Amino acid sequence: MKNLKFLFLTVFVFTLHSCKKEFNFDDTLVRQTSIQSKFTGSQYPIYIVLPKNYSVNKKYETLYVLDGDDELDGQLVYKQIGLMCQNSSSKYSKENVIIVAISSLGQDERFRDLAPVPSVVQPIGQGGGSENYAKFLELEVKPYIEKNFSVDTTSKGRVICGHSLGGTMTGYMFTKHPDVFSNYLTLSPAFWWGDGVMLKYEEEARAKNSSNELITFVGYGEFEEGIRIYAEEWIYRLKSYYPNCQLETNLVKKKGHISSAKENISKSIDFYYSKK
Amino acid sequence: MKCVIFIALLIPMKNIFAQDSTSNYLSKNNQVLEFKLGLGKLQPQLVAFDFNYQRNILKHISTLAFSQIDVSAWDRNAKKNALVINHLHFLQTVGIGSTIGRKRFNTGLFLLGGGRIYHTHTIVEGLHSPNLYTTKFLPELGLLLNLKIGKRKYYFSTQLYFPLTPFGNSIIEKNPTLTFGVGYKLTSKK
Repeated sequence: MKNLKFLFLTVFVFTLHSCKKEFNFDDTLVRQTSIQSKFTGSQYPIYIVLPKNYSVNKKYETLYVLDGDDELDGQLVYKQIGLMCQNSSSKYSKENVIIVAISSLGQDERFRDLAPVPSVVQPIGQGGGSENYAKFLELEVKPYIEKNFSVDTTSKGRVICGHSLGGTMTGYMFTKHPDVFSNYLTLSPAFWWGDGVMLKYEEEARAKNSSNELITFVGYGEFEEGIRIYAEEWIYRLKSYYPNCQLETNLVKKKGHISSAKENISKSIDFYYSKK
Repeated sequence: MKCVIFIALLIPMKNIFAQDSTSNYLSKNNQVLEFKLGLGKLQPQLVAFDFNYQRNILKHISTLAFSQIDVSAWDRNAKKNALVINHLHFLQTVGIGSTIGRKRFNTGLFLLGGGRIYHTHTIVEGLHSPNLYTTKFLPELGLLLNLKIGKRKYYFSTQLYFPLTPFGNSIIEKNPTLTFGVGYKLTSKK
């Protein structure tokens, strides 16, 4: 009888774990469109993931995800982020966001759009179209979303999330177009690009931006040395010069550039929901 | 310049014989030590230093202890905010392989297993913390192709080492190395 009680207790404890609320991604929440940009000259597929029970009577924050239809661990990034957002929304009992996932097109277009200046190392000469891409986000994507969905139209209601060169683009928006977003999820940013030109942009924009209220997350892997050293400098500057910045950082131990991405995406979204 | 050196090494080879006899090289008592210098693929300026200890255990089968140190050139003349990464790797493996070939050339193909320590020093002048040091250890599996050409006690040796790990996408890029050097036979029996 004693053994039976112990067995029952063990089974009960293990099944408690499975009582945690798990979500499956609902493809019916996805709206797909494409936008032809007159600034970059390219057409971009856009995937908009609506919250469950989306209502036009509410105003939702928007999460702009760069490289949104890339694959990570065999699943589309925007679907993984959709699930993470659902989980965080449930965890913090906060309203879910609308996800705007922007495709990155081919490798050449990605370098052109997301790199701030032409590269002086491999891939030599690529890049330099960040200003056009910033205009595409601000003057073409944002108005489309605001016209077709019920969204918060203030900068406090907009988040930008990018990894690698996408992370560099979040830095570009932060320094050159600080009125568009107030929330930045910067993951393994390639701030080494152009001999650290993003650091120069930050210095130039600091006086104007330092009093802005921000929610910022910076994450990177322990073994992506070239990215880590610049990311740590970025964090130092945010802590030193931006008193109204709510900052969270994450170093993923024993991981590199790609292998650290998933953990950092998850932690960045969790942090944003905890602060919004 | 590398091409000229390579051709200069090749020319004398046509008159150099392999080990004194194939049967002697395949003898169970055969042991050799080799020291070599060469280049790795990871960066143009990555220099590799090799050390081999090889011992026959059966007629066509040898065991091999293979050590390698790779270093990159030291460059402190960096512009402000520009990235410089210096590498120092140490590889230690042991393995087993087969000796093939006859007369002039003697070739060994080995499968090796062991581990590599990766030490990097990242420098960006002008930052609040301009230096970053990281060290990591990863297990390694590799293939080694070794060619011996020479007389009796001393001989020329050239070698290609190719890491098989990491498999797939990884934080580490594979770094095959090609090295040239000399070998010394510890034992020789007619």
